[in-house]
Amino acid sequence: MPLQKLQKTGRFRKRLQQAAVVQFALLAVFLGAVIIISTGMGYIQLPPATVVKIIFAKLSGQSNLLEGMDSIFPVVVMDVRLPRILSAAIVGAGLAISGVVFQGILLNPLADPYTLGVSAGAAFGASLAILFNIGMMGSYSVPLFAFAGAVVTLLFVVYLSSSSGGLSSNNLILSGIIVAAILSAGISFLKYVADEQVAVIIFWLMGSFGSKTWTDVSLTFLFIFTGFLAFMFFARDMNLLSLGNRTASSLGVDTRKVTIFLLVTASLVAAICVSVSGIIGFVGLLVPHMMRLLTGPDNRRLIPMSLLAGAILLLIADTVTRAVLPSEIPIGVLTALIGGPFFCYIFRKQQRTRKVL
Amino acid sequence: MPFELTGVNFSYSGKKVIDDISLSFVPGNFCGIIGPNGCGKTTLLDLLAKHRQPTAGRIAYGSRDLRTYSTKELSKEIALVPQNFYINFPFTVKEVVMMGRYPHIPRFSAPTADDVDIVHEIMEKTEVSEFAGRFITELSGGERQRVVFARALAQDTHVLILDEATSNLDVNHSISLLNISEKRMKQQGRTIISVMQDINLAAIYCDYLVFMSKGRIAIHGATKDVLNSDTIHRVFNIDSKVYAEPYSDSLQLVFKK
Repeated sequence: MPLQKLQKTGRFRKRLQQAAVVQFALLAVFLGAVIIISTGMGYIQLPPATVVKIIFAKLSGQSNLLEGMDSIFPVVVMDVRLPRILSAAIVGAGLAISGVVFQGILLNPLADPYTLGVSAGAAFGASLAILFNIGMMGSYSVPLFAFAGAVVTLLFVVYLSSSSGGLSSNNLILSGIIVAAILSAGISFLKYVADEQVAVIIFWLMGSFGSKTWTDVSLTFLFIFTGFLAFMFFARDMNLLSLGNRTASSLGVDTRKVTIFLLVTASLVAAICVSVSGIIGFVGLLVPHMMRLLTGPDNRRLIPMSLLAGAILLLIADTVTRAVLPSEIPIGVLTALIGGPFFCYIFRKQQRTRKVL
Repeated sequence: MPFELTGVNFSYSGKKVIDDISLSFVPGNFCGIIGPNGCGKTTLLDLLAKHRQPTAGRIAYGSRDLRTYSTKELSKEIALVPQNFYINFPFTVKEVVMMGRYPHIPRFSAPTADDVDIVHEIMEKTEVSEFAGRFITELSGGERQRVVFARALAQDTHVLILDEATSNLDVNHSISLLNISEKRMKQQGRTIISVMQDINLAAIYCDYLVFMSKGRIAIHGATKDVLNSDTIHRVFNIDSKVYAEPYSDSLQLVFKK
């Protein structure tokens, strides 16, 4: 039987589902490999074995293992590359899982972390901080302003779309678009008056993982992992929400509470990602889609798989801009340039094989 | 357990949708709710399923006020087959029917052998097992409706609420699904509350009919007592003839141009 047909009967996918644990393990191993290999890549090339040795020596505190090695190597690995690499992986994971949740709650496979204007809010906050050179919180001012911008925008969007009948997904998406359009105009205005800082604003908006520290890494990890646990707790309820509010409620889901909780948590996760790295599009859209083709739409499998796949994808993209291309281009540009056309391809292919996306 | 509604009101943005309804639904009965579009039938079902809360009055289920039940508790008591059903995600048919078992399965547990058996049995009976492995997004509207119906049966509850659940099904599947539901109801003393557009279908299945008009109850009672051309004229404002039909052993209704 041709592959297409097998997929269509669902039997093919069923067999894949039984292998969900295997898939997850494979992806996890792959992520580990990508981390180690990409750590070795860059201006100073290091073989994977050396990277593993350095990490092991640092973790176990056996500094004698590092003897006979150029003393710059451990610094490059531990202080320069790993924080950046882990940040990229964590942010990729965060964008991907918040994408799953937004799509699941808004019942729209085309929703992503930015649909609700979260990114525009973050960008506006960051632009403000850069423009007025706000430095009261040191190097954390810009991320904090970005985060605050995202949260305020989300609250406003929820306020705008809530009616006596609760939150409807169409209202949320429309409100998100309206608010994002206003904020985009605001950002353009800030850029216009920014003068010298305009380059800083533009570069921030296009996203970067440069100059991350271990503090950044641990803070980001803490938030995203907490978000992940919350999503997993409600994963089954999200399956039911995709049947519609009435049906979900008759199957025991407190729809209003669960929807708002997940919406806020997913927006916080997305806001954290944006404030760490600037705006990186398409990861939150593309990864859940690819994983849904692989494991099916059950969120209990989809969320963990997307977590790993998002980490892998963004890490590879960051490594390409950092170590493969002759000069570093902003990662947000790269993900949009590659992710966009690829998404068009997937989308078109689905249109031809399915009635409904 | 019986439902007991006393003086129930529901307003939606200032407009009274349900106006002072008092009713009771007794177990072992197939109860039909009939009325013109927009008379509040679906809202009444939403109130029974606690999807909406009455603005005044009281709904008791068994000996307790409906409000004291958690959503979780109710999901083991009341199942709902909605009228319109859209799904954007390619779950398989079997996965959707299995969702009917979620209320009985703890959050992080896998379905037990019993759950799997129930799902298979229901899919067999409702004839959806022939497309068990297909994606719900690929089915026709009628096939999808049958899957949703099967999902509600798999929930295995005392009360089954049908919101025009068979209106887009062919006659063969309408009858077969209603027969399955009725058989369980009679054997296990369960309750079926169904909004129906097809009055003749309602006349065949329902023991009890509630006619609604503009948010109020026009008349309610045993089908043989309330289904007549006067009632139809009052509620729908059309002329008709109601007669005893021996083949279906029910009252039937005919219209003319």
